Amino acid sequence: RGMGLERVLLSVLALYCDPRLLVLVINVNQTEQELLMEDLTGIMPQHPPMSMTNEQTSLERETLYLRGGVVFVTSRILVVDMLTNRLPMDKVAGLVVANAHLVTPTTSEAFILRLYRHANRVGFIKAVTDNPYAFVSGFNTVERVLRCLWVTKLHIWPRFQRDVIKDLQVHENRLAVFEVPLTKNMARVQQALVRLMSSSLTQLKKLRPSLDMTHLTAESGLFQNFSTILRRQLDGVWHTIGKQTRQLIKDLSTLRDLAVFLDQYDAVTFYHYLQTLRASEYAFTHTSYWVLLDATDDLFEFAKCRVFPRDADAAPGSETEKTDATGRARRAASGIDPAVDRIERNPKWSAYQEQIDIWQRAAEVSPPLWRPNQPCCRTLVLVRDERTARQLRAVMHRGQEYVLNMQLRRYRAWRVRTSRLRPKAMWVHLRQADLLYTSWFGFPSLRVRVFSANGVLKRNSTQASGVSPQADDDSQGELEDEIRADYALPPDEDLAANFGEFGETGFHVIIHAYHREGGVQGSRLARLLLDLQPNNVLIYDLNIVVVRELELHAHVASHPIEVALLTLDTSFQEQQYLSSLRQEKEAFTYVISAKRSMAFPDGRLGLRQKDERQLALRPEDQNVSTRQAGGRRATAGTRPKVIVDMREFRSSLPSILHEFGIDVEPVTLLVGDYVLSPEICVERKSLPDLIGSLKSGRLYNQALQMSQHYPKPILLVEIDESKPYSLVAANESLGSDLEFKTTLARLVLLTLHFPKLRIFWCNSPHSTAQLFYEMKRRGAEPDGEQAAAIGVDMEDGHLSDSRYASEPEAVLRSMPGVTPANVYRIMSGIGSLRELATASQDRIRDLCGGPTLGDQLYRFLQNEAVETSATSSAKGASRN
Amino acid sequence: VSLRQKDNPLIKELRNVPFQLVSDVTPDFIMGKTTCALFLSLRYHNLHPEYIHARIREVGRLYALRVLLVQVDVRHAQSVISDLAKLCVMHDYTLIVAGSIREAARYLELYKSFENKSAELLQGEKPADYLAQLVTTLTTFKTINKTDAVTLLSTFSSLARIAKASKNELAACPGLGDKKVQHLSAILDRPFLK
Repeated sequence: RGMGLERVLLSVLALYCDPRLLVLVINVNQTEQELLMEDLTGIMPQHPPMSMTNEQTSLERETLYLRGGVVFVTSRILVVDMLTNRLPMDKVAGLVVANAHLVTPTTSEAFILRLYRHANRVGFIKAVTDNPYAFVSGFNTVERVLRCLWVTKLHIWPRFQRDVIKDLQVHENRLAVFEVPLTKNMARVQQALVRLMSSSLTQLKKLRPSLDMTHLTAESGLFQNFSTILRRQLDGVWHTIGKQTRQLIKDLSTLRDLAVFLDQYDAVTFYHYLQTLRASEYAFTHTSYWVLLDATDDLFEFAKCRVFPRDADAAPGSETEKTDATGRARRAASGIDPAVDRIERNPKWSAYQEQIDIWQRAAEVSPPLWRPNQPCCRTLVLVRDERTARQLRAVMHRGQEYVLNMQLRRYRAWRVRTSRLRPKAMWVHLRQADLLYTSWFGFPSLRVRVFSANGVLKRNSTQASGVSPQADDDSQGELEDEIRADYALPPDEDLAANFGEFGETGFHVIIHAYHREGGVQGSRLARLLLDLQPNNVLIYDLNIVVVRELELHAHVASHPIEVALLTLDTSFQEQQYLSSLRQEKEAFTYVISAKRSMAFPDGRLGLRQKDERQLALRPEDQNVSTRQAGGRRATAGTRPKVIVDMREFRSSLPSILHEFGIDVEPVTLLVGDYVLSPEICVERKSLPDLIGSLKSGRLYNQALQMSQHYPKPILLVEIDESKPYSLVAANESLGSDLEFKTTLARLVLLTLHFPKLRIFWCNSPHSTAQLFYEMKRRGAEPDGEQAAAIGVDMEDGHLSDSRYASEPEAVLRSMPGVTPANVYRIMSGIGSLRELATASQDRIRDLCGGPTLGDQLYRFLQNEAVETSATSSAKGASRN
Repeated sequence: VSLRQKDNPLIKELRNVPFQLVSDVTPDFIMGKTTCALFLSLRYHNLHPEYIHARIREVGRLYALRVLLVQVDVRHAQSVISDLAKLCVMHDYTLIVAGSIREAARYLELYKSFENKSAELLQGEKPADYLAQLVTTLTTFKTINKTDAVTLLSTFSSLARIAKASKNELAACPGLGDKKVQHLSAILDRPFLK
């Protein structure tokens, strides 16, 4: 990672920016594509690259393909275009595959490459990846990927390769590492978290003895891939996993979050988050395993100590007393809570301010003159995410105290609200919990609330503390204004574009968050570094990609850079960094040794012949038995055909059908996923899908439509290989009573209501393909146009319509007052969810088609959740 | 229950519905006026593959819903199940596959007790109380989990106010990272009509 792969890709693609060649680029993600397109346009303005999306019509795409040059295209569209012969295969000079590690035999990328190789044997295929970790897990992964990619050469360029080291070592830049010690309480919280994590893991092991725990230790629990390991192991049996196990796995990721937040958040926010966890825990009675452990008490206790230290902990002579005399007056004037003084400071903040001060002074003494006449000194601070960036900015401009004070006020206001949020039924629980807290909590004004026997909430007037709940509400409004003002510091989203305004001289600090949209974008960072040309770089949060990217930049930069690393000694973050270094090295070592021992697929011609033979043989094999059965219509010369819905190309089945020797015809289907013959229509459901759509009612509608239009509707249930054919877990007993809200029950009911519906149970796409093939022996070939036309004239035809954005629609459908009858009316009548949420009552009544539903929706949108417990008890009296 | 099933361990598991052993019925089980079932253990089927064909012929088309209840008690069952699936398509049977004898019994019990049930249960369910409903709606956003939903509701207290909040305000909630905030507001703003 961070070896500048984007630049390699860029220079490769730049060679192909030529209208005489058609080169397709697949498997790039959104950001990569944007950056690459931008850069390529810069390099080759006369032949800019093009991108294909589903916004273009098929005809437009056809002409674009013919124009040539570099084309970025999503896999789903490319598959469809290849199958419908919209893409002239023999004109394609080659394919470039990014993120090669993601290509497995069942992905559509592998399908594309196979289609391409069958039609065109001379074109090139190039694939790149910067993720060696992906090849470590699993058996023979490197070889498998190479096979799917149809490539025969493998080049590996690790950081420790001799040429790479030689190249990068030319510049010696000054690097300073600051190890900030953890505070005592932070260390304790950390210990508690490790303990919780390892005991959760032990528990998990107990529940599922079959789990391979070699990679699952509390240490590895700190990394991103931890949950992936678990998910991969449990993927096939996910639906059979009991509630307990599921909860444990969720807990583990919660604990992991906590570990990350410990380093990242300030003391108050961390505690606030812990409390939120606790609150949601109580509100929904999911008793997590870890909540009951001793270590959890430690966790809460020490986290609390960081915010509200007990007297014993408040060390005498610390900064508390020093600042007391001078600070009190100032604080009183600026309205900062005295409690703020005792809150633990984030240790990194001070280190950060120190380092910046040092650089600033250095810059004043001897302004760097790397550009003639521009004595400008730029400092780039790299932080993990926007939140940290915002907070650091606030710390810089207003001081630590101010920030902590703000957080504390937020927290207190939140406490008040949460205590009102809890549903009635939970009072008993809460009371005990509250008793527990009161002993910790130094704020009687927040808990002056009594519970009467029937659970109705009453408020005591609060003479003792002098703070009435009404005052709370007022201060809440004030607070929100303040927060709005406070956080309105300019974000530097577009910094790279307009950093000119920072002036030509003087000392500038730019805080940049490198973690965006699900990952570190090395290329973005490289761009920023080039644009800014910073003199000093402070890495506030350690990350391997960032360090690598800096190394590369230092190599190309025009002037020496001073780099400082800030780490919390023995913190999770540091450990994470160190083991990511180790992991990287191990991954490469593994891949190199795999390369040495692996059998490379021989030349492409050999592979092709073998494949052709397979395809030719398939019908013959079948004929032996089919002739005897006497039902076969298709002769060996023509391949049978299946109509496949466009959306189905995300799954692996179409690819496997094609490999099996069945032609697939992509069509947008309104009813069903696959049409085998004019009579047979198949709806494919993976198990999670099945469970979800049985619950949501989607499957009911689909079954209804299929039965209306096809004499033989089929529900295909995909069960995972090597798993029992069961919809319930082996270790989760059925229970002695009949439960009606289970998947089992719903499936039974479904068959009762649709006696015509057949069910296929298949444990692999290969056996599905086999089954399809045999089903097709009887019956005519399906007709694409006919299949597409089915369901169009239906009243409810837009059920699976793609005219509407799916996620907002799902959210809208989950709201009360929204029915299948009025949902399209609402969506056509109003722009977006935000617009809906802020619409007037009359407007919503109008949209819903009546005051009953309209009011239901309006109330749902507007009502204050915090008051429900009070109003619901007084229902009927106040509301009419 | 047909008398021929009297030694089937399955009927010991039929606990939630009463049953009666009768000698003069063709199917193995009759769950309702229009529903019957044939039971098949795969181990038996592997030994006597012709048995089930004969039984299917015997039953004919007497009932509207005919269920072939298969108990999987052998390894590598897929090819057999595929064959049975074809058979079911040919003779209009509904194939139900159960992993254990208990599960098979549960299916029968459910068929009996759902005899006259409406399809209401299949048409989606709505959460009961108001708060749960709010949380359900919020968790429909793919990146928002229950904890986040509670954080959001306790901070902003209503959906309308969440919708009015700025990105910065949302990001100030603990636990809501940039990614979640970006996604949340992107979905809120995404037009319904593409």
